[in-house]
Amino acid sequence: MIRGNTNKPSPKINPLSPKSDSSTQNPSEKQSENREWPESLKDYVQRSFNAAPHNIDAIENELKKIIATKLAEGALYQTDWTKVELPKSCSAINEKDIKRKIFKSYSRSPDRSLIENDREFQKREKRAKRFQTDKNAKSWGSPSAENDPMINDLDYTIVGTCQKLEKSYLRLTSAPDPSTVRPKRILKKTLEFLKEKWVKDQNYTYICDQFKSLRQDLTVQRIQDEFTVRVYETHARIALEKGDLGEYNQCQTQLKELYRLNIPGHVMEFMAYRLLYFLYTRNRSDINSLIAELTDEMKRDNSIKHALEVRSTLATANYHKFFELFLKAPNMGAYLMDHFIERERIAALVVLCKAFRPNLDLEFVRSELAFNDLEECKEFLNTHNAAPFINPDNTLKTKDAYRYIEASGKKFEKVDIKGQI
Amino acid sequence: MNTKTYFDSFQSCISSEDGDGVKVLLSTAAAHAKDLTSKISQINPKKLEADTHRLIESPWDELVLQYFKVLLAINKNNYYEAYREHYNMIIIFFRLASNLSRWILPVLYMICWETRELADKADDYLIDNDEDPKCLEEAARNINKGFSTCITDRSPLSTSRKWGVYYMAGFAFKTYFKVKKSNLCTNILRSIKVQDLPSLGQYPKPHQVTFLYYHGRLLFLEAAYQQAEEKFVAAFRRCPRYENTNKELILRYLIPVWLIRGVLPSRELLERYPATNELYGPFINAIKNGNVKKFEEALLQKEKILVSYETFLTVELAREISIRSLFKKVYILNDRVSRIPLEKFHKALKFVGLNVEMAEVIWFVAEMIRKGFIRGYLSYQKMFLVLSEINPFPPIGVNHPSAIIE
Repeated sequence: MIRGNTNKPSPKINPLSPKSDSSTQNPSEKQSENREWPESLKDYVQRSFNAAPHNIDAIENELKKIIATKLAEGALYQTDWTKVELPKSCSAINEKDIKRKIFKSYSRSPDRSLIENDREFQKREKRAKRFQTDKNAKSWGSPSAENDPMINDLDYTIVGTCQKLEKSYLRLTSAPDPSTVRPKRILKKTLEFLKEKWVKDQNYTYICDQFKSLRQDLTVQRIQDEFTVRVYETHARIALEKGDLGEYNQCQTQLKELYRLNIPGHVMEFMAYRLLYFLYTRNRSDINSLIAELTDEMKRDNSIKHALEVRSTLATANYHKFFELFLKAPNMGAYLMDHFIERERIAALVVLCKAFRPNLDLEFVRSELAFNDLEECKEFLNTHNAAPFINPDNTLKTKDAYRYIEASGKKFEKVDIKGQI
Repeated sequence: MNTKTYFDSFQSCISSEDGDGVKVLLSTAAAHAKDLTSKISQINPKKLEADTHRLIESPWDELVLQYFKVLLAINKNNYYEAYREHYNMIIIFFRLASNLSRWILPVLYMICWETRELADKADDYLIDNDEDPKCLEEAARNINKGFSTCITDRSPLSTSRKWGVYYMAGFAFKTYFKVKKSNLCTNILRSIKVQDLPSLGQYPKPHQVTFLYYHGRLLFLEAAYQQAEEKFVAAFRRCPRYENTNKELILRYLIPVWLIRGVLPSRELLERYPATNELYGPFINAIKNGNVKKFEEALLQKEKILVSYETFLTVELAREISIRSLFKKVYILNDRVSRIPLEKFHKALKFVGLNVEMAEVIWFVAEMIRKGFIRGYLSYQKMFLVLSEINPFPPIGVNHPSAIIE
């Protein structure tokens, strides 16, 4: 039976009464039900599960035995559970089991960092190398991300000889001529050259084109290392700056794969971008999967902490904090948030217009919703048809404005995922 | 069991359309399997093949031969090979089954069940050898085909394979969830919607419960909470008392859906289901007492496990309910006066250990007004909450029809 929030005390149930659930349970077993356990034991159980979430079944079995023993000794309450050793299953690193559990979590990128010892690391490296030399592998990342089809035909790795720094992007239809491919040495110079050019000219079409050919040369020569990561990270950041989510997603997909092969890079920064992106698409299962991937160490990183706070402020409609976080987003986070800031401003305005009567100071709206000045705030209201309800003293007639703001809010329901994989 | 006995039993089962009999004879885990395996491993394969073709009518002979292959692979402890042979077996079986009526259903269920078991073991083998586990995903597709076999049967209802639809749907859902491809479930739901089927209530209870549970979970993932609640409540009601694990599983998802509506399970329910009590108890208490800080602590402590169940995001939404409880207390302690300075709410939050800025308090109250948890309005000039005379804190969800559950 369930009731709502009433204050009537419910009749106590006698744990030893025959009205128990499973007729096979005997009274003393019933007492071992959670309800009868001391707090320290509940805490012990919790700690055991937390210690090795991948090994819950084994831990549960061990715990049952431990608790049953203590119960038989009549020592359930007498034991100091804070001093009892955690079950062995918490620390037993059964390699095979761990590996199986991880890969069978069927997450897209199983967390290989949980596999601790050297032998595993070597096996992992072997796999990574296998991807590189396997002639049937489309590319190391998702097949559709990189559009170059020629890798299938290569049964050796070419080394480029082209010495020119700049190169326009051309989609390949067959194996490339080495004289048109730049070796890594040159590509490094190209990257520095492009970074300067971007700051100077801010010509996005040109930069995007150049970066795509840079990436292509790396792909063709199967170069997968820190430099590759740096190239993708740089391109991703530039794409973010220009609001090009399609290009950003392509880079992010490649980076995910490269990080998975344990190539060093700004893993935390880009993990944070991923989370912000999922907040933009409002994909709950993606958000949940990402949170599940986060280790304690990752959660301590500033960019990830920021993204997590953005997530929770949105979940709890704490717009005050949300817009504050927008203003202090680290790295390129603000550019990502730009994509859903309008949507959230409308959502926030809906709340304000519903709740405040009769008028609301525009200054409050301005500062809470992070507008630079009152003009920008009024401009925003105008865009959403609420301008007629601004009073001369810079307050907003909330009741009248509500209808139009709400209508605007409805338009933001569907989100275009822009080439995300 | 020797081969002659096997062949005889098999033939007699298929002539009498004995679904349960055939099911046992084609199972790799049945009592006869070990003995039969040792017998067939000693026979010359060509002779075995000839005997099978001779003594088993077509097209069943192909099926039986394939079954033998599976048994032999299992005997070698090579589960990857066993799975692959079983995959071939299932293909032959589907072809066969499309011409058979309702009696074949027990065999269909068993074969799908075993293909899953073998796929699981085959994946273990792959993982141990540094390959990606893809058997279960593949098996899921076959199970989906099994569902199609049932739903596309146009024969008259009493003998139609349509009676297997909900079992197969539930089983397919279960497998898709396991391989994290729950998005593929929508096709099944769509097929069910457009087909002419007997109502769900006419199917065996276990089929109903499994189907409703997974349908609820799909709706839950899409945040369609009201519909999800209906499914979970229906599943819970139809699930027998002694199926404790299943009951707890349903509650695992039903409770969060209730919490965000402000519906709290009774103490009796919690006492009867200790796992649920342990998991959600702290949240329920925090809501009852309006102790927001305790709610947040519980969130922190249970985060890992809730995330693994995919209920974390939903439970988090219930935090607001605990804040509402707190604010209601403020109202009551304030002699139910209809004008309350916001500062009082600010103090109350501080009192339970939540140090937030005044601006955040404004947003909490505003959001509750928007959601209808508080009836009234905010006055910006005075920084007051002005409550409606009638029903300022409407009871949320108490008298909801699904609120009464055995």
